Amino acid sequence: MMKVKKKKGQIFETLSFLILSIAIIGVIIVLRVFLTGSAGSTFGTIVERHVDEGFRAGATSVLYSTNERTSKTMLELIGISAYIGNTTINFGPTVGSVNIIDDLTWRFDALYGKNHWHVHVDYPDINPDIQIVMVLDTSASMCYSIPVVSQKLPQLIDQIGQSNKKVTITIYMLPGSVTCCNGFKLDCSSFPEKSYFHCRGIENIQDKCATKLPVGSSIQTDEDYGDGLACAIEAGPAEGWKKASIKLAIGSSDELSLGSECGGQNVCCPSLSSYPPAIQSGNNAIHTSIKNQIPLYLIQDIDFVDAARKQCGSICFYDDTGQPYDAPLDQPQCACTDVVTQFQKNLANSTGGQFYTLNSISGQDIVDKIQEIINNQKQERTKVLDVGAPIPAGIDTRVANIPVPISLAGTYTTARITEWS
Amino acid sequence: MKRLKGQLSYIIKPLSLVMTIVLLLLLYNSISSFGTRETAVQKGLDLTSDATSTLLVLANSEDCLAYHSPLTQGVYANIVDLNKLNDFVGKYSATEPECARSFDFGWRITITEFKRTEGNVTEGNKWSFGASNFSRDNAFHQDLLFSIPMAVRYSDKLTRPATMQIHIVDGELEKIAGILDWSCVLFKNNRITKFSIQIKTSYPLSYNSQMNELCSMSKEKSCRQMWCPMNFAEIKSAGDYILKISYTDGVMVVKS
Repeated sequence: MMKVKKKKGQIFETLSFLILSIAIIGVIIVLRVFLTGSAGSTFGTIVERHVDEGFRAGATSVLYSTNERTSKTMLELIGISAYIGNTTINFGPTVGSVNIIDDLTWRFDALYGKNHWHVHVDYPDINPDIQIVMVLDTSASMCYSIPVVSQKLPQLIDQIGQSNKKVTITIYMLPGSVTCCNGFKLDCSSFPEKSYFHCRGIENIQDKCATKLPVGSSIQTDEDYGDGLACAIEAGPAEGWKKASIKLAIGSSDELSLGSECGGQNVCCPSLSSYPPAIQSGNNAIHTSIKNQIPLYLIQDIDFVDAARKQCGSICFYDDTGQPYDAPLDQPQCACTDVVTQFQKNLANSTGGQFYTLNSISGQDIVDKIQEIINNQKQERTKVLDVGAPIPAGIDTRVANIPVPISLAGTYTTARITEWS
Repeated sequence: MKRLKGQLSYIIKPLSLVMTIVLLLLLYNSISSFGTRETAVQKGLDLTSDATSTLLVLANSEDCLAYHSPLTQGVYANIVDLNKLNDFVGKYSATEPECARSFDFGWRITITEFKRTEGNVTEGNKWSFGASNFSRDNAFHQDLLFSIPMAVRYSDKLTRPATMQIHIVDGELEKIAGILDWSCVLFKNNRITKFSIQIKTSYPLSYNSQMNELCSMSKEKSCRQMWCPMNFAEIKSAGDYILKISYTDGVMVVKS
């Protein structure tokens, strides 16, 4: 009995030592692994927050640095780029183009190192405003078209505006005030004035233009749409040219600039080279168009009665004595079609625009052509700006979301900047 | 057989005792090393935390370098004003500015801007301010280089990207100078009348009253500019000291 008790005592002694050993080793392991780790991670979290704040503030400051050619901040440039849906922004011939990707890349490379950052900006689906200046011939032969234009064009712009596309048109009427037999006067008095539709006499903007209409009693300034287009581009629409809008200039006439008669009466210019003033007027339009990067669209407004035979019939208007006069349109309008086409095509092709002819005598046709021009202004938009290296998977990254105002559209997008070590 | 078992019991009992003592020693050692490691981790993280917060304060506080927009009456994140920057370079060529002074560490800032000319990205202007000297040799504990991106605003039309780098140092001279500068602030604001604190120095400490500099006499002397003029009793050898600090007529009296 005593033996068994003694043996049990020894076993308990050994067991209690073992339990004590295990307990102490357990405490040591807990101290080493858990407590040190948790203390470290607590401090680490605080420091990490500071570093994150530093990253966020740093990323913001990069976007506030300026492009030295435009003096605009990167934030503004991204906003403009998002508005126009293009990563290359053209600031005109003096400043040139700015490539957002290039500008962001060198900045972030210098500050974060190559392949250690990524910038992502979603570009909202925005339709940029379309601004049109249109120069109209005011000679009597336009009595077919202009009355319809004055009535139908504002309706068209209004209708387009309801489909989430903002278009404004400013019509510049060349000098002249012929009254058509239907009572319509070929000047701005017959046009409505709306927020998106304006009509001005070209003489009212002459002081804003380097290219003035020529002066002289024998000069047909009512058909000088070459100089008229140059001046309209320089002066801009009634509301002024807006940043990042699509800008177009449309000219419509049935003759050469300054008339198809080469300064004569009812005779057709045999060739373009025989009338240098028209060439000069056209060159003025081309030069101003290229300089301002505004393409020229020409609508040849010859109202054929029989296009195959080049017959145009006649048009009725009140002459200088106030008597109705039925003027034949075969000379010079229809007979000069080839030289006019050559002239107008040259204006359009030299500037990235387009040349149109009318299909019918109805004035509606000219409105349809303007609609076609507007509808063709569909831009290929960049939907997203992705710059920098692809974000690697499985490593710690820092992310800053910075709002980017798109002031031209009155909205915001977000630049998501990611950085990793 | 019985005798053998009895002898074994005599061996096992003292052995258990010895093993228990060894285990308890291990436990003690572990607890104390945990404390040491925790302190080391904390110090390292304190340094990083101080570095990041100093950079943020410098770049975002209107009292420091942040550009204040008269239009918005606010500041922009990490955009510094060129005029303030030039002012800091002139005023704080050898000491940290008050707006971002750390009383535990010493630091110096270097700002380097980047620009692109003819397609090449180059470093542009550089600015530097803050402490010009740090603890050396045994008085030096650790240091850290840390930087954040920022931008230098020249005008409405020109703001260039840049980096602001801090060299932050943990050392005995920085700690002691920090205590004295902190005391200086408290004395000036009548928050305290006298003050005692224990310090540790690995080198003698002297004070140059003409330059208002406290110097650690390591192999190569390192000095820090002080905020308050002092009447400092020289410390002639390394060791732990209790500094008794008081303030009389705009001068801090420091005795050990």
